Amino acid sequence: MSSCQAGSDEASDEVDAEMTSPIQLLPQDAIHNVLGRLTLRQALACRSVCRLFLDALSCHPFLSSLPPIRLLALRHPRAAAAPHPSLHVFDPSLRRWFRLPLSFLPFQSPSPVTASPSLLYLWVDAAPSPSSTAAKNHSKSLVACNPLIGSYRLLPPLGSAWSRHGTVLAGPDGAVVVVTELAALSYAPGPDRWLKFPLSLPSKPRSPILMGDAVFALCDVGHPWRSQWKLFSCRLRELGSANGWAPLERHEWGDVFDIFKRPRLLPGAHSGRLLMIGGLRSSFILDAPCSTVLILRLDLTTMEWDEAGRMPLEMYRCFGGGVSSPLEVAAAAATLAGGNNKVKVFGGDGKVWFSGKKVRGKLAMWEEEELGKSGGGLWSWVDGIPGYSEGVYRGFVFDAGFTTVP
Amino acid sequence: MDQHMEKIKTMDEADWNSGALTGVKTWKKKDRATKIKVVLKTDGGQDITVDATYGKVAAKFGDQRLRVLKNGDVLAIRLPNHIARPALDVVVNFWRWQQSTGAEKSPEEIKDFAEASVTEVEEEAARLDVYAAANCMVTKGFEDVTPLLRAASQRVADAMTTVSAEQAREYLGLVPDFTEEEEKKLLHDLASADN
Repeated sequence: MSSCQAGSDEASDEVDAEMTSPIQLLPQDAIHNVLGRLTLRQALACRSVCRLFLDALSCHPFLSSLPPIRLLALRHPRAAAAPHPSLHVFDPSLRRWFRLPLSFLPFQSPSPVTASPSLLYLWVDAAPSPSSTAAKNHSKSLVACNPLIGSYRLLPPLGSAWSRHGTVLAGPDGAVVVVTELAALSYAPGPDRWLKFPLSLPSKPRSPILMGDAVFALCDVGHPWRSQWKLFSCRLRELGSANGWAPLERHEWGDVFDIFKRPRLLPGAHSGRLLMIGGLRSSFILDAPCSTVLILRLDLTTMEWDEAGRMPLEMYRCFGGGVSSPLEVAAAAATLAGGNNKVKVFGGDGKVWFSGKKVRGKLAMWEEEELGKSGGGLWSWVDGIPGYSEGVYRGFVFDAGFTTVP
Repeated sequence: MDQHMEKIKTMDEADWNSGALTGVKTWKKKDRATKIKVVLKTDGGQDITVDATYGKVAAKFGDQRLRVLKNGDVLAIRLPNHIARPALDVVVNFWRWQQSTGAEKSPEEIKDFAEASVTEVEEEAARLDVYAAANCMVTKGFEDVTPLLRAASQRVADAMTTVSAEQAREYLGLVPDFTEEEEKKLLHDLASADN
């Protein structure tokens, strides 16, 4: 602890002590010592107690001492139309939902899409008025912001097609990549402009993710009647080179991709580990239903796969899966054709959430175990999803903190 | 020299900092185990005397002041007026427990005793006083009070986690000092954070 208020401050204490709360007589760091023990939610609430707390909770040395909170942020399907823009977030440690206001953004139709992980990225209409040229050209812009400190930075505008069809990937150093079927846009804060690169991939990239300084994606190199997935990667600095994208494969992997239906990629809990998640085929026949959701983990150093987790059957049944009898298999195939038991997978950094049309108002959550443990992770339900009850939820991981400035 | 030494021993820290003492040029390095008595001078004249060793309280004061002390010497420390005597009693009790048995206790046992010391204080507002007193004592050099400081700060924080802003003000003895517009905006931001 650093010093008490000394010397002359004690003289003023003699005059004001009777009228002053004890907490107002504490030195700044003593107040920080208490406020620093509050949760993020309580710290926000304490701002409205008095000016002393507002100042203390806005003070940069204090804020920089608070660790970021890892949250799940929802991509609300109607976020852009909400009268009071906000970001619905879930705190896994408290198992509570709350909202971060986005009203500080002076743009129309904000729609959150990803995080870097400590800066939030949203598509916005940056046009000053509906009649402006930009609006007429239906351009959209990405904005990087920190909702906890209310600061933002607008990236150069893009055509609205990029916002409709592109997957936005954001890195911790301000790098942003927007990936579509045929091309990628790359942005860096230094030049403050977008660079466009054609994608030299054999098919539309599925589930691209940014880990470190490389983009990873799956491509279907099979046939229209049967998918055959392959993993590709490309360093950010090599996006524009002809041979930037290269397959990641090992002979000893065998048919690791063939056991999956609709696999997705997510970053693992520890650097250098990548997760592949998808339906585990119950057999290799065409359109075989899935027996559960499987999570495999790839160590990018050793290039070895291991099983990280498998959804419990009783949980998978809630998503409309887990069939066993021939009748159920037939029913499942029909349902599959209708797409009603599709499971949306999102998250990152060792936390994965699952949503499905048949699972209303809640998500399944899987948490990767610590390095060295092999227990299959922790599965649980997350209830009370706010905002809307229809549709299938999507989201991303956001590390909320007070220090990262866009 | 003896006259100066007498003056040092009974000098308040404020006087020390003001540079009232002059003329003493030679200091002897003291054994950290030198036993002294510290008189905590409170408002109203209800002083408390505690045993301490040079090594335990030297860090804050700086070696200069304590180097002249011998075994059994008395050092006076004035505490701020807002430090409540009942809270100081809790802190002193913890300090004395630390000095007598702390070396034999594990960190967990010390932590448990600190938490129990705070729990025994029945009123939440009084626990805030304990926190203020512990904070003051630690900064005055009584660093062995730190576990109690941590326990008290956690209890104060815990008391604030379950109450509204208005209840927090009542608990902390604060008056709202925002303008109407500021309060409206803060409450709006907070309300929109709830689902």
